[in-house]
Amino acid sequence: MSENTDPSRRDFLRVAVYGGVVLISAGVGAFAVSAPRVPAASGDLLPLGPLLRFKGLDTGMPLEARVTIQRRDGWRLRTRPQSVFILRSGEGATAAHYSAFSPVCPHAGCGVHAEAEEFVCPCHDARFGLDGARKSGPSPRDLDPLELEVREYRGEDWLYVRWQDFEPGRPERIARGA
Amino acid sequence: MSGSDIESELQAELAAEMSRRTSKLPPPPPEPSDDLVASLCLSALLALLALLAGTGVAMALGYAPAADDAVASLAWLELSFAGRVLRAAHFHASNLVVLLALATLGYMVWRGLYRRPGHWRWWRVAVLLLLLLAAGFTGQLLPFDQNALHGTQIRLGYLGDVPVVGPLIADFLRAGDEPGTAALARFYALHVLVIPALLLLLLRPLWRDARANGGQYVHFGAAGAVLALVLLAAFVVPAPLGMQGTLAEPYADARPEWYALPLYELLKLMPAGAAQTLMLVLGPLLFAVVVVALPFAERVAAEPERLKLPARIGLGVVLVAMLLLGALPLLQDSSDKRGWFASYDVEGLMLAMGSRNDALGPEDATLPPNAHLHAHDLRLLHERLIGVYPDDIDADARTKWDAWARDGASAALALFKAADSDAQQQALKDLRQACTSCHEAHEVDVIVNPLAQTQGGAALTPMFFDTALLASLEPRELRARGTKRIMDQARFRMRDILAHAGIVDDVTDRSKEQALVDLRHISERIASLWEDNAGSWFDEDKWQAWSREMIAAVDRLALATDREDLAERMAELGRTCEACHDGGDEPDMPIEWRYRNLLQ
Repeated sequence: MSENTDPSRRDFLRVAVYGGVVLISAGVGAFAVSAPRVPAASGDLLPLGPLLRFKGLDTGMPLEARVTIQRRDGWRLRTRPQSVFILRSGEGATAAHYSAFSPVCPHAGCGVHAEAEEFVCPCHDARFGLDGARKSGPSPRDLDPLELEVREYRGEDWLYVRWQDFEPGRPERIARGA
Repeated sequence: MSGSDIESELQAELAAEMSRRTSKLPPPPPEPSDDLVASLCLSALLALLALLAGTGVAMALGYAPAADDAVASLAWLELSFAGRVLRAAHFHASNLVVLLALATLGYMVWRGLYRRPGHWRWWRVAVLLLLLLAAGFTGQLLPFDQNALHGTQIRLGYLGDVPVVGPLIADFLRAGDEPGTAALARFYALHVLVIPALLLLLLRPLWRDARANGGQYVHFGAAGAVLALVLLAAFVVPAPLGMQGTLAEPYADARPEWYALPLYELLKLMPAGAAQTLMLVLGPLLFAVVVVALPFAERVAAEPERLKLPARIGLGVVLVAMLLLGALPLLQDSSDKRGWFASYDVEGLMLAMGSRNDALGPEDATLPPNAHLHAHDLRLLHERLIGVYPDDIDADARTKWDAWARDGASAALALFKAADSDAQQQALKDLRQACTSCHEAHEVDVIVNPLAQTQGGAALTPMFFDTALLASLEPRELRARGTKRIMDQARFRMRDILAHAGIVDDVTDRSKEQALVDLRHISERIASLWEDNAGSWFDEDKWQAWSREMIAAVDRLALATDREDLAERMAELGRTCEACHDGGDEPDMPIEWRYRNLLQ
């Protein structure tokens, strides 16, 4: 093609292409370096409800309770509801008689739901027993347990849960923001 | 004969032999730039890029990259037919461009067009595909509907599994605990500035590659054909837009784009951990190595032609494997009614509508600032409700059902478009009228207008129920007909009482005494139900025994001294319900109900 033989034009094109790639990479890089690191939320203790509610649970039957969690979104903090699975394991008014699981699948972070005998993640067919243990599917670890606590609130005992995010896809349990 | 004669004769013979041999040689392989099909593919690719740029710029004028605005801004754009076509054209072109780039690469392998001196073109097309995939990845989050948010959350999770650089890139893109407005800013900038700028740099060499063969008219023809195809598709099939994205609601139907289905299936089959990480790293790396190395491979093979067969076999194997792996999740989804084949059930839709309706608050009050988002969701939910019926309604009732669903959808649309608060109020009233009409026709006692908010934990009297009030109250008329609906009413009244006790958070329009009186009335009604319609499948003696137990449990409930006592008595009532449900559990009539469902 005759237009390519014009040396000044070819130089310009070369400079434009290489210069363009360098400039764009420099821009993205500069932002990545200069943007403030967003702090990750770490374990807030959140009220689940009066202990009365959970005393009525059949043992070994998960209840999908809701808490309000705070989420960091760049420069702002939002709140949103989050479900948590609560199981009662015995008679008694202490946190030790209950257990809680995060419904976030340890495989890829989808929402797990409770079926008759197991927890099922509908995204990639991961299955867990009601004790949170892996049964089948691609999950690298058991469901993530959450810490429970009984505290006094408005003059009565309330069940509190410590909400925690964990890194998905790892065999070991890594708490985010810890 | 002199020596020189012999020499000249030998030379002549040698020349003849040489010319005979050369003529027997196969013709030299075509120069890579001689291929018309590859050039036409590039022309079509360039035409699609131009269409994507044009529709992209047009959409950017109306799109707001913010978590609370993205869906609504696109829904607003799609109110006009032109807006719908615009977004659909961008959507279809983005799919076709990836398909065409993949096909071009495959064709180039088939014809050996990666061969030098055409290797730069081969690499350019590979880089083009890479940039297109990056544009797809960043573009998927932009609508910020349920599919976009949940899908990106999963993809960022996988990205974070890649050793060393993975978590850095994923955290940078996520810009917080989960994708939100900050993440949208990054995805948007990459999608509309960085990636198009890099594509622009690639444009001129690609343009030259395209023009290397064929006349102007064939190129116009190829470009025109794909543009016509995309526009036709855009007129017929709109781009999908779901409900406002939130991770608070689980979303089981998040599926990747079609070209990522083989990877999706592989990740599903493969247990997470070392093997999966290895695949996430080795897969793309292997692809990159093959793309880079192919032009050099012929140096290793003594003759270029020898490389052709292994390359073709490799291409075929990869193609078949991808098709099989891509088809598996589709087959599974179509049998499970999930993902792209998701079907909706009445109960799920009603629950989703209920939570959004509650968020809109009572009538004649100021609507929340994000009312338009709830309106968008409610419109979609009502549209999904059309054609989805409860099991027990006849053809006539179905027609009415659809009409109410349409009324609801158009009222929700009016709420979305409302110009002022009067229009908002009118739309909200219409919306609730559609719900109420349908509920009344199907005898469902559900409060559509949340008015009376109970104060949890307030009642701490010596006796939980006011006994004088209990004696003076009459039960409200029970409009529900049929076993299931009457059982529903019992559940609602139990829930009312739990809400008054502050054990659950809920809204009710009756006092705790009224709820108890109604519950007593309903349990008596349940006792007589066996004759009505339960007789065909339930043992009469058992039914009577359990009904008596239920009535006794309700009477014991009335004696509750305080909230704690009430909680225990309510759990006891719940157990009598469970006992009956378990007892009636026949293979063709399963009743799955647990007291814990009331506590959720």
